[in-house]
Amino acid sequence: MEDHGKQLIQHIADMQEEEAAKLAREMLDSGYDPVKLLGHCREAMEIVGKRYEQGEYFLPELMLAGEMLKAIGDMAKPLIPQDASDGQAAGTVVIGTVQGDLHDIGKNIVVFMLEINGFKVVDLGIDVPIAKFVDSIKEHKPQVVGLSGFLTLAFDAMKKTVEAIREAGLRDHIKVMIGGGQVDDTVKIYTGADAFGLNAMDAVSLCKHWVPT
Amino acid sequence: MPTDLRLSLTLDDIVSSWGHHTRLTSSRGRAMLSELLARIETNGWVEPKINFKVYPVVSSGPGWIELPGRSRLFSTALRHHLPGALYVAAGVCTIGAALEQQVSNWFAAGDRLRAVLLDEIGTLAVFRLGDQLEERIQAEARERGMDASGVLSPGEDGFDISQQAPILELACGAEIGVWQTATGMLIPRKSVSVLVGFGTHMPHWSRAERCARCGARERCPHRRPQMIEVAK
Ligand code: B12
Repeated sequence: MEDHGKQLIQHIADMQEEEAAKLAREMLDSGYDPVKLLGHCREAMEIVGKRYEQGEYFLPELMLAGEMLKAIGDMAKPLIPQDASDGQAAGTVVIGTVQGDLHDIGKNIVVFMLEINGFKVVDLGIDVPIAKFVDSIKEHKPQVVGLSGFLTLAFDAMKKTVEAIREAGLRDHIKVMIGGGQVDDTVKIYTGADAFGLNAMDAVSLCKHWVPT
Repeated sequence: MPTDLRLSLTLDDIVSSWGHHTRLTSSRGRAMLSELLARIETNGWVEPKINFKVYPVVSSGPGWIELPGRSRLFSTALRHHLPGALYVAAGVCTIGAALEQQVSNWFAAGDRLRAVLLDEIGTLAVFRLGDQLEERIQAEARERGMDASGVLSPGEDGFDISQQAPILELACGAEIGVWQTATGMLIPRKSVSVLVGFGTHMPHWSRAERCARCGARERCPHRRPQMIEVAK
């Protein structure tokens, strides 16, 4: 059975979609622990993430792996006893491409990866006015707010958005992560965010760290 | 403006632009790409349009050039990249709004792999169209007995995004349906604006060289030799 686990990881990491789904089904049918199986999926996703970072994989592979994870998750989750997985979202994230910027594919991938990992994501879209972030935080009460932007210009919009969140008295209740473009520690400090992430996997790790399940 | 723009992207163009060792060789991935290419064709999701205009440089100084009608362009990049330009061409290209609308629809409907694939095809298409725009501008320079510099885009290192407004206006973006937001972002999104200098002995640089000096290089997902090859 352990070999099956390794095999599953390899299928997912190597983009063998049909083989991965078939093996996962067989494993579950023969009584394999679904929680353990989901653990293998996460391990596979880490490999995919590394290959993406190293330039071996490109965006479509990242998405395809995400889809495989979702399909297998859908098979495994109903088999997990209610108390181990109460069906609740891991947490809520409000995210958007900040005012003035229209680059959105990076943000969309972050949304996808967060959803795959069980977060409820409120995606505000692109060129999001500061007030819309504030209103959405009031409405959805997220634990995390994600600000995306690829232009240098976007850093000012991020800073202003964080300031507005603070002025609305909402800053203490949430964590703010930024990403896209040339974000780094200096930009993080400049914008007043809590953390920055270089890719979708970072976004997931940050949210998991802040909203332990 | 030219109407005979061809953007015939093939499955191989796309796959190789993602790197030759891409593993998106799964039957579903490839089938989806072929399907998307066919749908782009049938539905006219890519509507390539380019526009450019040429203006004489009336005067220039460190970090600025003046064009007729007292309009001025400011950039620290100008002196270095367009030294002694006698004319400048301001240009813009777009693949239209249909493709990005479809990407949004699919994202909203949860069909994300399809959405990302279509978006990437769109980006590759604008890159290609940008190359065609550059070629036309170069041809125009030759016709005028001059040579053309490489391409500068507002927002790139050393060329402030604030110059997007004058450039788009000079390029008469409205003629091909391109306009901009208050912060200088182009609508439709899959659009690119450029400035090129005409003169004698203008420095030229390729897309690969542009890519090599881009500040975003280290983290850029498009930084693949294959991408540059395809874009060439
Ligand atoms: C693709 C692209 C385009 C495309 C498509 C844009 C679109 N909206 O569809 C086209 C060719 C149309 C384009 C046009 C322009 N672009 Co552009 N573009 C890019 C490029 C090459 C890639 C950006 C991208 O989509 N990457 C794909 C994503 C998925 O990759 P990624 O960054 O690895 O994504 C991860 C992270 O960003 C992170 N992440 C993202 N958001 C978040 C949020 C959080 C919270 C976290 C934790 C993480 C996170 O997770 C993502 C997934 O892993 C970048 C160069 C670069 N290196 O970034 C320039 C770039 C962003 N563009 C730039 C510019 C200037 C422009 C133009 C203004 C040029 C012009 N004058 O025409 C235009 C404007 C277009 C417009 N509509 O106004 C500049 C910005 C410079 C600056 N520093 O301000 C860049 C850096 C290129 C450059 N150096 O010139 N662009």
